[in-house]
Amino acid sequence: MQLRVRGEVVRGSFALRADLDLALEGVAALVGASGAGKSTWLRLVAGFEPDAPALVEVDGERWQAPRQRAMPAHARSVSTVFQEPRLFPHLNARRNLEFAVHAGKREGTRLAFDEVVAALDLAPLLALYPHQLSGGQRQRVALGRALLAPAKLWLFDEPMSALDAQSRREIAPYLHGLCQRHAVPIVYVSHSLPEVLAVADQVLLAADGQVALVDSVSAFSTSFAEPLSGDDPGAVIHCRFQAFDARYRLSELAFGDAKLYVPGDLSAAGPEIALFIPARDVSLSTSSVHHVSILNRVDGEIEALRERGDSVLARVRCDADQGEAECLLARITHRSVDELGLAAGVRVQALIKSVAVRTGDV
Amino acid sequence: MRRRASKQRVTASVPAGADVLEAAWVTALLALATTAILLVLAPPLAWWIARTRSKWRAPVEALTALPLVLPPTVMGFYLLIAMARSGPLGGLADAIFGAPLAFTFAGLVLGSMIYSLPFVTGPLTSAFRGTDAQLLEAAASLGTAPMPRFLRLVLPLHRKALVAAAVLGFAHTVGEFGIVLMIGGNIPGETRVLSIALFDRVETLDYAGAHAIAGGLLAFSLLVLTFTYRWLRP
Repeated sequence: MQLRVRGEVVRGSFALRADLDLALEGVAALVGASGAGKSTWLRLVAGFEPDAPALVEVDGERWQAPRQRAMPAHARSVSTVFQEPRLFPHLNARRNLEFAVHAGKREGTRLAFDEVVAALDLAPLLALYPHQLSGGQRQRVALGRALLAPAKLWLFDEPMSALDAQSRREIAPYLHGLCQRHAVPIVYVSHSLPEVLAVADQVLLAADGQVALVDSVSAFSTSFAEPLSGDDPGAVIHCRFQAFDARYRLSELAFGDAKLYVPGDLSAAGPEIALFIPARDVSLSTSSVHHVSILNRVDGEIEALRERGDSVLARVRCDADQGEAECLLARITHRSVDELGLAAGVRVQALIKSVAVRTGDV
Repeated sequence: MRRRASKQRVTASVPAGADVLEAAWVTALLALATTAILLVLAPPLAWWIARTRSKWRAPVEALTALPLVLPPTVMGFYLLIAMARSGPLGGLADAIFGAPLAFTFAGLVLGSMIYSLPFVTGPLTSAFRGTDAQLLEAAASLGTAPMPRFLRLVLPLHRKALVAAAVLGFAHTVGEFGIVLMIGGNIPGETRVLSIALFDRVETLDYAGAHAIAGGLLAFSLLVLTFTYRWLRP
């Protein structure tokens, strides 16, 4: 889907300037610090800033243009999950969902009611009213409601912020799968780095009143970019599937000169697999380590260090004779930096304790 | 003196009972018809008043509120002129139905609608003003056009205000007097409502009959309002 957003939205003292022309594909994460204009940008695309002198075009269809009457929100084939659940208080969960099913006749993908209910585990909630639901349950119903409305584009403004880790792990792959099965792109606002990098095919960065596309998710994940590395930084690595060791039930993946062993059979996940490696699960050693239970050891060179709160983030460029060199992030202590003499240019071995396979690919 | 009083009591008790029942019937019909029509017309008007940014909002709102401040006889006088055969409304009705509106039940319904309008639009407008804009956006984002948004979301959200507005409109129509006197006259079975029948009793010094009607209206209004307020906030 070709999306063009150009122009300005002024809200009080805040002005968002958008100049973006991109082919949306899969999940595009929209990241940025609070107040950077993420929600305003979503509102502009969804049709809730009809008076803004901006251009919004989707697949060549003009939804909004300066000095023209904007296409109203209900006619745009966009379904939005807002930060707040915004459930209709006088309807129970089932009727909230049905509201979306019978909403209107605009174009777009329509998902089956039963499928959405099953995927989001909504069956036990159907008879309950919004005030009887917990925050996380409300958010799940709101997500289901948005998915049931006909749409060619989904805009999710932190759709899983109120969910527990378990629900997130279950729902993220479902969203990613939907996106691929129905070829409906998702723009996904999130503050949670693992969440973003687990699902994102593209990253849009909102900063200084601008929204721009980030070239490479991998490079961005290790760039120390402030809005992302706040909570739980880590690196996205693209690997090639090599082999599955049935005896130990380990998949062998390769990137650069390095090999990674990941539990489970990933042979079906395609030739290229994206991994998320949290910085907190990466340790550094200045000498080669052998007698250790950690399987995944990657040689490389420290490229940069950045202080982050009580600890230090180190970006390690992994050795690669061929192909693109990938970087890892390691979270280490100040004491380790001093004792090991870590600095840019120092050779290290990165010990990787855990690896998350990108959920959508499983 | 004693003979006159006893004679009056006799005339008041037998035919007057039937007379009051008939007036009560006309009153109920009038209030029902007025409320039913207003429940269709007033919500869209109140929604427009609550939501529009048009410069016409204030004049339109003032126009609907006029019956709150104007003596009913003033409204009634102008309506009488308009509904007479020579007036615009009366002339139109005469051309279509062969009778002007003045001194008919239909004319009374029209007058009552105008007179009770602010009692229906008022509670609705203030309720509509408090509509959660986020819910409207959510409905729009699902693909719901403005009209279904109003019917499927706004009205059900404000069903309590709708009931309150209907009760107020009904009770107010039951209690109106001045406008009915001006445009309806006092035709038994057609335009004689309870408040007019009460006026008749007082004019003829039949205080017993007057007490019955006045007490009945008082009790009715009090009951209806009590039940409404209890239902609105249990």
